[in-house]
Amino acid sequence: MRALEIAFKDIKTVVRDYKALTLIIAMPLILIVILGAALAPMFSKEDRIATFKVAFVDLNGGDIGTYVRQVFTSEELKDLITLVDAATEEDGRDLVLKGEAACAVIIPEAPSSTSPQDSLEIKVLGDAADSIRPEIVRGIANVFASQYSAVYAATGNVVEAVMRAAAQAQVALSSEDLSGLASKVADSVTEKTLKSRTVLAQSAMETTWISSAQYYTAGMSTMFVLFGGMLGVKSIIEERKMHTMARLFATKATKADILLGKTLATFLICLLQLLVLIGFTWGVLRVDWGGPVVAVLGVAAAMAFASTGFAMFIGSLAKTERVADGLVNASVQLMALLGGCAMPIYAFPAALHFVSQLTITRWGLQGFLSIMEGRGLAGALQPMLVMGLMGAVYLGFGLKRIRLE
Amino acid sequence: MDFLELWDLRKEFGNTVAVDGISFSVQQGEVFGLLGPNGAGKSTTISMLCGLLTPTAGKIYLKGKEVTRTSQEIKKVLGLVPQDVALYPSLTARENLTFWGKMYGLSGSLLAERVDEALEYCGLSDRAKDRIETYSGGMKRRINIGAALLHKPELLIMDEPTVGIDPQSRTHILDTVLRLNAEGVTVIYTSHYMEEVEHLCSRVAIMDRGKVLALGTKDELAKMVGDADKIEIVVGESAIPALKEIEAIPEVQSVSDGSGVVTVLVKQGHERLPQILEVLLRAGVKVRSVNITEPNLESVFLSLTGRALRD
Repeated sequence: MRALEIAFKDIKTVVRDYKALTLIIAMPLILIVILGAALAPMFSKEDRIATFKVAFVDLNGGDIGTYVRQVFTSEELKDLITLVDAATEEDGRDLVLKGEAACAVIIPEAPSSTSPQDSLEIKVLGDAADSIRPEIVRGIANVFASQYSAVYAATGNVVEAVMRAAAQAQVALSSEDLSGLASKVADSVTEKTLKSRTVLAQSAMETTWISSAQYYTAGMSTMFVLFGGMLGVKSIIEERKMHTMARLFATKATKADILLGKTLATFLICLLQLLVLIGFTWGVLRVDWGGPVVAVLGVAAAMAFASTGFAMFIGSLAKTERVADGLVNASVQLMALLGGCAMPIYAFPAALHFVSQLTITRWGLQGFLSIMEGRGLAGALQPMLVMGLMGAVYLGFGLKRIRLE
Repeated sequence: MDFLELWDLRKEFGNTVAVDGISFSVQQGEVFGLLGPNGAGKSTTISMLCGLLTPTAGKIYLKGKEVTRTSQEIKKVLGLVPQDVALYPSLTARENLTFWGKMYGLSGSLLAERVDEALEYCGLSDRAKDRIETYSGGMKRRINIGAALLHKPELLIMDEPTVGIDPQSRTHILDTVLRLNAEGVTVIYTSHYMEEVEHLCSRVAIMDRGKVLALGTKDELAKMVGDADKIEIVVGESAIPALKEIEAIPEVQSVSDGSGVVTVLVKQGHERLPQILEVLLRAGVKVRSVNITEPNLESVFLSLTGRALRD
């Protein structure tokens, strides 16, 4: 109960601090508007992403590989994607890891045209740090695979219907006749499918379309929530300086009450900050955060938790407000840069992709972008879990080491 | 049984000994003074009493029960008025008092009632809705005291509560201490202002450099310096060259020179004054003013340490 009172008191103090509100609310909004407008060309439909390479591994060697290759080398995609052949899945993975391909498309050995009952699954291997390009390819591959599976399902139904009709009419059909019929039906349907590849490619790309306003809204929100977290930690340092901490210890409040209260306050400040930013950008700037709402709230909560943990970690390292400010400014800017808040991660050298995975901002950004891309709660689960883990580790270390007295 | 006892209490910070094995006891219902200059170890002693610092050695007993390492026990009966104003500037006086009341375990109508009482006690009911940052230094000090009274503590520890405030607020605070004591509250009052301690306290412990140099009632302590008067001479420049000669004058007990004031502890001060002034003038020291006071706690401190309290 005392922890709650301490948390509410801290929140009230922050809300009355106009300088703090400017930092955590006004600054990100200003940057969202400026960056969203200034860097819009990076995200424009025409040249939002430069042509990128896709490793193509055809383990099937049959029609499927040919059809998929036709889709990716089609007129509609040739300005966006360049295929690079790789012999094995390992080769394709190597190309991705070296940064020589944005992702790898693996055409499986089975199903083949001789086993039409199986559904087709095309594997797309992408760098986890790149949340845009592999998704474009994955979208195209998924749509193709589902259409291809539907073709074979349809072919099977047609052949079955012909066989039933032949049996009723007591007409004898040889296996060659049936095979030829199936092949003609499949070719016909596949041809029609491939003709619709423009729609297929465009629809897949439309689902992953993110505007610059969306990108920088997510990026700046993710970055500035780390500053929000620091308000909680600075309140600990300030209370030490103002001697209210010593006074707290002279009351019935225990160290656990104070730590829980401070942690709760930091978390709630971060969460409120994110909710205000999300609400304002959605309601006033008309930024589409995607859905469902529970997914957006989930990522916001995970991000607020990770930011709280990180703030406590910084608080355990800094004894004075000045040191805390220095550590915060340096670490938040570094994390923002590496996490992709200022520039999409796919534009980074491959070596930095791994480093970016160590930052909270990268996962926060990926969580929000996944939802904006239309991948819903499922797409945001991994970032949420990683942020939860990061927050727990930072918080554990911070709470153990932080000096209240 | 003593209300509070300290046995051989010691606190070290690295190689620095802040409190060096002090012992004293406080009786229920008294105003006990801790007098000493800055750095004497008063605040460190208070911090150990309140459980803010863990003693390096020694024991603390509350009503006969040892509470050295169980600070929650002492917190139940304790109200602390810290040396600095420990309030939240952006919260109003009422919000501050309500928060601290909750920290002491109060709630509901009892809390509201106690907050009103505390505001009344501080004489600031009409400013209850104003933020602390808009208050004068003296008003902040008064609310600082009010926040320690909300749970009606049996023991009130006041650590230099009148530092840097206007005379009106100082008078209000001193009156408050006497009023609380009359209501039965035991008070430990620390200060380096001799007059305050003399005015308020029934017994006084004089501290310097982490040790208790003397302890007793004002009269008991005054007897330690006999009938020596304290002569304070404000000088224009350093009087160090003349100090040895002054010290050699008969009946002079101690001489010190600091902050442009030569302090001499001497019996029959009025009679010895011309001799002392002559020595100073001969040494080329310009005398600006002279003040003679009868034996008091400052004289005791000077006699025990050879230094004035303000040094």
